[in-house]
Amino acid sequence: MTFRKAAVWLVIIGLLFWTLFPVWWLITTSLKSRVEAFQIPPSIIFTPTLENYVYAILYNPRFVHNYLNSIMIATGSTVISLAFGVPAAYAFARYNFRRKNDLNFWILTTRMAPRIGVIVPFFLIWRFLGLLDTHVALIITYLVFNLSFVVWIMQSFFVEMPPEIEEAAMIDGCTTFEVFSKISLPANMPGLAATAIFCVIQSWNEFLFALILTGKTAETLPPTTLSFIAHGGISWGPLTAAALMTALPVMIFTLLIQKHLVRAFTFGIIKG
Amino acid sequence: MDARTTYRLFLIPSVLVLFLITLFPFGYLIYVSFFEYDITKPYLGFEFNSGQNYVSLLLNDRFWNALRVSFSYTLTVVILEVIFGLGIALLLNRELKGRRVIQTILLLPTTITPVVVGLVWRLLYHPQFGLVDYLLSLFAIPTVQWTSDPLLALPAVIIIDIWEWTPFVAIVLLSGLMSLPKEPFEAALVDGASAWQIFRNVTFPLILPTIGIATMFRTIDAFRTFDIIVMTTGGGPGIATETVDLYGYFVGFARGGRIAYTAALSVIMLYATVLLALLFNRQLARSKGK
Repeated sequence: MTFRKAAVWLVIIGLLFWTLFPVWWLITTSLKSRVEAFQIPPSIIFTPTLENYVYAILYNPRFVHNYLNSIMIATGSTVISLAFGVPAAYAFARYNFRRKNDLNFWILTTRMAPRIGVIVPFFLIWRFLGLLDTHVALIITYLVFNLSFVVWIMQSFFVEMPPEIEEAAMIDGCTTFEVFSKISLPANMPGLAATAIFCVIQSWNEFLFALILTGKTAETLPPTTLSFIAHGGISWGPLTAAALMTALPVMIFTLLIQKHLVRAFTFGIIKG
Repeated sequence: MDARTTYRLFLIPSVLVLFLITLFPFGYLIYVSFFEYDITKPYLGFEFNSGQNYVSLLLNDRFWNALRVSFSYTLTVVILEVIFGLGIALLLNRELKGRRVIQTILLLPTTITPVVVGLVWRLLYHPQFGLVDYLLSLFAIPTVQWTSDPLLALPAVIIIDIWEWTPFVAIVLLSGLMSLPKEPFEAALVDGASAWQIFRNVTFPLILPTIGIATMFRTIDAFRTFDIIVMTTGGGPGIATETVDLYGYFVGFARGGRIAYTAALSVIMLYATVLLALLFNRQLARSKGK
């Protein structure tokens, strides 16, 4: 092995260690008994136990409930964003209307807006409508970033698609809607899937809005992790178990579709 | 149904929804910013105070501190992530056994819920039971109070952000590198250029647009970092790591209820955001025009 190759591998191994040690720590701590979790130096060999997971689910009686909340809200917001956003993205791509650039600029601004700018009016509005701590409120609030994301990304996908097939179909007498539903949409399924999953991930991981806009009924998982930091101290075992249960679905999701995500992102970035 | 009508039907619901959930709240935000209102004392109601919020904000040292923290955080984080990301991308841009697996592992930090990332690092930074100080002690470095030392708190949070987001930059740049045309490189090799010369004169200019756009994205998101900071340092010690978002959150929600004051803060930040967006838009249009 040449020196160069050895050097490259050395750096890569260093990188992998750097990347993995917090993740390894998270996983192993969640599997250790409550006493062992505190041990310094951390024991590398230990008997794994699931007691933390059991404790996490039982300690916070709303844990399972909030898990379902996260699923409902993430799914709801994504479905609505797709239903509205994908056709709109298609129109953006294929229809030249006045003010299109202005609209695109508006969508860009929405994505860049500071979060407190969004949360202040929404908090007051939902409170006025008596809709604080409801699933609906959170789903609609999440549309602010999900809908704009869908329109922006799917637009670049549709634009990238060569128009010849669509034009051929239209000459054959298909209506615009048929072209959209039978040709354009199926052709972009991978991109659509990646966009959908990205929306789910963004909604699932969202912390600030969920923290402020929800209480007991509609609380999602990220704010729930706070409940393990109690006054008496931090119960590390159950905390890491709960944290891992919160992060794991999204981690698996992301890694499964990482190829598509990278493509979707670089597409949107480079072409959009 | 002709094409135009279909397109309009596709477009209008989304545009309406978007306007409803952005323009209307935005207008209301500006409206509220001219009042005084405390959500912990709703019985006092809205009290018109015409711009006093803005004046007291601009005179408030804590506001300027928050701006300073946000800017130094964003600047440091983006510069370091781009440098490291480029290094990693160049490293991985070669025939490598198991590169897919390496990529997947390296991407892990970006996949973890940011709150969880903050949580994990908060525990890692614990002076007595945390892994970080333990690992440092193996190198004979004494215990460091990461999150309670005013000088170290910001670097500590910056390290977390670098851990979390460098892979993202690296992978984006790697995709860019892999899609570069081969000819310039082959030509350079034929001309006998050294590795550094190839990088400086061929690779770097070609990858610059990708770097630019990755930088833009990281800058936007780094400025809005919230979860990590609130979980590890809570803006502290004192206000050492209090970014603009955190400041607004504490004043308006968590440690008080002066939401109208936060509204004024938000309006200022939104205004700056729109200006920045105009700049970016111009940049994007120019780079597309190329």
